[in-house]
Amino acid sequence: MIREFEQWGYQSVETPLFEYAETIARGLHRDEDERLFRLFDREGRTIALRPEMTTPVARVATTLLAAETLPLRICYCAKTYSGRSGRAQEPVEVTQAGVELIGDSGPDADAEIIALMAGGLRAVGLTEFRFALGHMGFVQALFSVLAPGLRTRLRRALIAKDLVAYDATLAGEVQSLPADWLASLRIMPRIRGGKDAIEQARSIAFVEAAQRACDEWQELLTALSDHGVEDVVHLDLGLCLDHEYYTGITIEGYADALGQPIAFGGRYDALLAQFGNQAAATGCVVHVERVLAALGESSCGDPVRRLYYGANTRRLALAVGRELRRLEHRVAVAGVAPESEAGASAVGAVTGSGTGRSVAGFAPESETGGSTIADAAGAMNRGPWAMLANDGAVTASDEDFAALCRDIVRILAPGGDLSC
Amino acid sequence: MLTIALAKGRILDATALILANAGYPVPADLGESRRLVLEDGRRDVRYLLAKPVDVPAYVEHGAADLGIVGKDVLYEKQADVHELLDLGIGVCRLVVAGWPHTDVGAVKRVATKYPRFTTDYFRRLGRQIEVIDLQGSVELAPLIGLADCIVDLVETGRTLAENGLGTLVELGTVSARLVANRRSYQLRATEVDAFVEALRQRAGGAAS
Repeated sequence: MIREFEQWGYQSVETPLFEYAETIARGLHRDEDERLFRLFDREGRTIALRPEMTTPVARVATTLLAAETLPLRICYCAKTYSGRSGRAQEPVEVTQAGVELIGDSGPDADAEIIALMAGGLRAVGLTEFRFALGHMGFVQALFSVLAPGLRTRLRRALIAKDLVAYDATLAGEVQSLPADWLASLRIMPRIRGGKDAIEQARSIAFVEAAQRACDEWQELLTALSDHGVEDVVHLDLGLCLDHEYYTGITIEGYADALGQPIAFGGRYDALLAQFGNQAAATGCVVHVERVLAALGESSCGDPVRRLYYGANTRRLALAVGRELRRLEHRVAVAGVAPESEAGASAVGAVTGSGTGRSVAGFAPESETGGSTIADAAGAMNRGPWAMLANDGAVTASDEDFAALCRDIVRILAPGGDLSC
Repeated sequence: MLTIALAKGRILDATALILANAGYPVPADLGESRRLVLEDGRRDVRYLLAKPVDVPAYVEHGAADLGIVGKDVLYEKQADVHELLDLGIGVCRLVVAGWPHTDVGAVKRVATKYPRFTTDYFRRLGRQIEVIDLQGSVELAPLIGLADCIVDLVETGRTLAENGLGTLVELGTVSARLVANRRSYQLRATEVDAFVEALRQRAGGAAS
């Protein structure tokens, strides 16, 4: 995934595991503040384990990289720490892989982030996923005309995804709000969909700023279509993420195979100003553990091939191992095979994973004391024994050796064992 | 296909009724049946019959796309799900109950099936109490002196009255809610919305 990020021109950064608590607090919602793991440094200042990466990256971007030309493209893969909320079934340690595009305020930047994330998820083999797109500007615009107390209650209900509380709150305002506002507010969090959702959004946008949010959505969808990924997004007008710093488009990603969201992001134009350097910014992270869960069994890459050597064949086995790794196969080379898999007396057998194939590779060397390598596999008729001198040195020509390695790859299925 | 987790027990009959009225009939012997999974191939839905306290977990993890469960359980479990609809069924009062004339401001031990709600309530009162977490027949606790009072759901108040106990404070009412898994709410929006709309019309009709 990081490779995909880097191919898009993003620069990988690392930030310290600890930050000053006050630094982290700039990007936090109140509830999360309570979930920080805090400790004191030697001077008695409060520091905390980073609970997320956007704020640390913003700090680095505004201080260390102030001299560089904008926009900055930054990516990372890092562990983050947050105490249990009691609400989501979150583990304390979460690996976040993310991208931040700093210094570009247009919808094109948001589109790039989404297209890049879609590319990253596809690169690791995830096929069934989608991003829901909200817009904090739209929600804030509609709420801006409301009394502060009401605004807070509605916002809290949206963050909690509690439409019952949201409706109940509005029902209490029947007297105080114009009927058309009320109707718009009621329908707003339920609107989800594609281009049609933008039209619906326009029809309920009774505040000028909300129309501008609709324009941004429109431009974003057009840009995503140019990226060729318009099918992986839909709008959700009620999407309200619980980070205070989001100001524009918000992103939440879901995989069909997992009940919980896998990706979070959005535009946070005001956060960098808190570190003394005004710049627009947008970004998105995936929770790596959740992506792995969504991928299921297939996520662990190729199974490992295991190659065992005897007293005289170590040199050959190690050379074969090196060659196989150069060809990007995963191979472990070790001494005597475990008793159960390829017993000391048995002819080294290939136990292909699930293939049921059993092909003798190299003959055992120990009991008989001989140093010959019998070729029981028809596929290996080039005579691997010719590749060993009496002292175990590999004497084969490069061509023969490469052919042997090819044969071994063919015979030795991923996950299988081969003794020599 | 939508998978819907239904809470067995108290609200199951009312749930079955509201589903039937919304055009999703479920077998009449739902309550007695030992079956845990029921499929309705015609309407492309599948029902899971789960213990009420487990419904939020089924929905949160996406084993079920939707769930119908009491607000009391939802609050207690704090599951990360979308709460879409108040179905207006299974309405109960959540109360502090105990011997008549008990001073709620002075209690020290409270027995309940709802430790989270109870702790929150007494914390708002500024009281530090010991919560005794029980699973059923909570009324027993004040009778034998295990607790000073209880926090429990009351439908008619008969159990309380028959044991000489009474309501001390009304904390609020709870009702059954329709909840949705976060992934399903977004990725199966069409199916979910159709189901919600069918139930909303029914629930609205019941309320008016």
